[in-house]
Amino acid sequence: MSDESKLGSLRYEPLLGRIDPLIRSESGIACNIQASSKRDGLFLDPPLFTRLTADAGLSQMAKRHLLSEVNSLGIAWLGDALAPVDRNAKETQPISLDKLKRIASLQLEQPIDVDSFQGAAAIELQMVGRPFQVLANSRRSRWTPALPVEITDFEQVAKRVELLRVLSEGKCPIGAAVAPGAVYEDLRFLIDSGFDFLTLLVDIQFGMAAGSSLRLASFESTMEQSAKAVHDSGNKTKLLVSTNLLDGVSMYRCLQLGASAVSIDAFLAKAKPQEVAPVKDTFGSVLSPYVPAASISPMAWVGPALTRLVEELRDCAVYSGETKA
Amino acid sequence: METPSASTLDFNLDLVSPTEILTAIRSHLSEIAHVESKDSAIPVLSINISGAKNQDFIGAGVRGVNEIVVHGPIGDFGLCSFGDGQCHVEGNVGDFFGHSISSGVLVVNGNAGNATGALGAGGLIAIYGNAGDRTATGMQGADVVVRGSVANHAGLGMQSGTLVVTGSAGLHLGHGMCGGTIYLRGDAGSISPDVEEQRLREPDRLKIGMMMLKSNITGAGKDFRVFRPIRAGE
Repeated sequence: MSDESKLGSLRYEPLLGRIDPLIRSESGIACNIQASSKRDGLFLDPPLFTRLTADAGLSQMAKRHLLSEVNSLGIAWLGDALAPVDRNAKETQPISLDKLKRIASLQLEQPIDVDSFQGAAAIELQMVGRPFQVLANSRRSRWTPALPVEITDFEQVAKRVELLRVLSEGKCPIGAAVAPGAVYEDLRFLIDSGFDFLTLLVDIQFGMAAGSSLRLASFESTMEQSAKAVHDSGNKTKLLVSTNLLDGVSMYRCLQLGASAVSIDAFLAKAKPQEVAPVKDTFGSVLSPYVPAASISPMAWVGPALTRLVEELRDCAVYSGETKA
Repeated sequence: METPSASTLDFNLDLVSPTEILTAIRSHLSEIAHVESKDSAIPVLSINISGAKNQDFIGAGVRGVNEIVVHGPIGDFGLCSFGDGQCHVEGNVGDFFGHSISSGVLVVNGNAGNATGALGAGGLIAIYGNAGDRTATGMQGADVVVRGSVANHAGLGMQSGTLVVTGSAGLHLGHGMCGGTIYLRGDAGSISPDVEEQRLREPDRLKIGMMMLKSNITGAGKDFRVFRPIRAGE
């Protein structure tokens, strides 16, 4: 059985069905939300973002190296603010904090820390996880669609969005990262709750190594249903899509299908050069433990690869007569 | 030693919105920090908020203020993400009061709605009246003292921290709890199988006494029942 057909056979239920039946409010079933976003949402140029900084468990040093490359191209990234630089660490390129397009991440069970919103271009609520439950020994269960732990009915989600807007003094667009469950119903509900943008987690890249990705749903059907949900809601909510897109052409196609931005995580995992170990029984292999590491950044390949990607996207836009990319 | 400079800001909710209050306080605090950066004295800032008529989000995000007094009832998500200092609310509060509190003391001279102290990571919340459903939901280190009674699902999914109830509790006390302690003086409608009753020991009495003292509630830390989760530490 292929991955796609396995995913198709999984039964998903809407987010409301995932509230603990013991605490679910009866009034929540009669949803009467009037908090639809009137904003333009999050605007990313180039229309690219990365979640590797939050999902891949990178070290602070690797994260700084990645961000110094990503920053120069204006690509958005998800995660906490950067920690102060370690004095012993050698930073190849200073990072200008003003220009960073950071999307502050807020987990479901995490208390809201207003300090973490400082300098953020947007705030994204991660609507995945297993609140109140010990995680099963499965990578997939971490990405179960869920509502914040204190929410017991639909109306409270809209209020929580409004709260985040107040705490950021209305300066940041508020978004949600949602794993595909009942895609149409969930997206309609979240759009009506007032989110400015939604990130669809079709594929998760949980490491920089090739093959360290997890498919949560079929790409085509998810895009079809999500585009329909945004269209039917009549709202300006932006769709960000995290999926396995390996080149500029497939990213451009995804943008054509209704996405406002796409993730570069799978592209980076593919573009990463293989580490070539010195052949044994050579003079180089004997010396290698004693030779100091090269002074160039271990992430130096990211910059040229991303530059090529952005150029490829622009090429696609020019070829099709658009200037979107 | 330098004498700390004191200043007071007055806001009337008939004239300004909660967001405008937050913006004004933040800009005032940054001005103080800029002017007094050379001094070692800590600035003392007091806030008076009047005209509260159940508006939502009052005082949300306010930090670094020594004392806040809110006159009148407030709506949902009041004093959310509160930290550093003390706040007195002269009236009832709505749902999610003190959500994500990180430090400081919140005192309510009235009743509280649902989910008081939800996701609180530190600090103390004292409710002089009764509290609604799901008090201390998902709490992660804060303390909540309720002089009256709490409704259903108190301590829902609590991870750490303390809930002291001098009255009675509703149904499903401690449902989904995986850390922290509930002290209850009265009866409970029903107790979740996720928690077990334990014997009140001397450290528990001292802890309750200290929390009630800090909350300015008279009473001793005796005659309480202690509930702790069965699956603590998982």
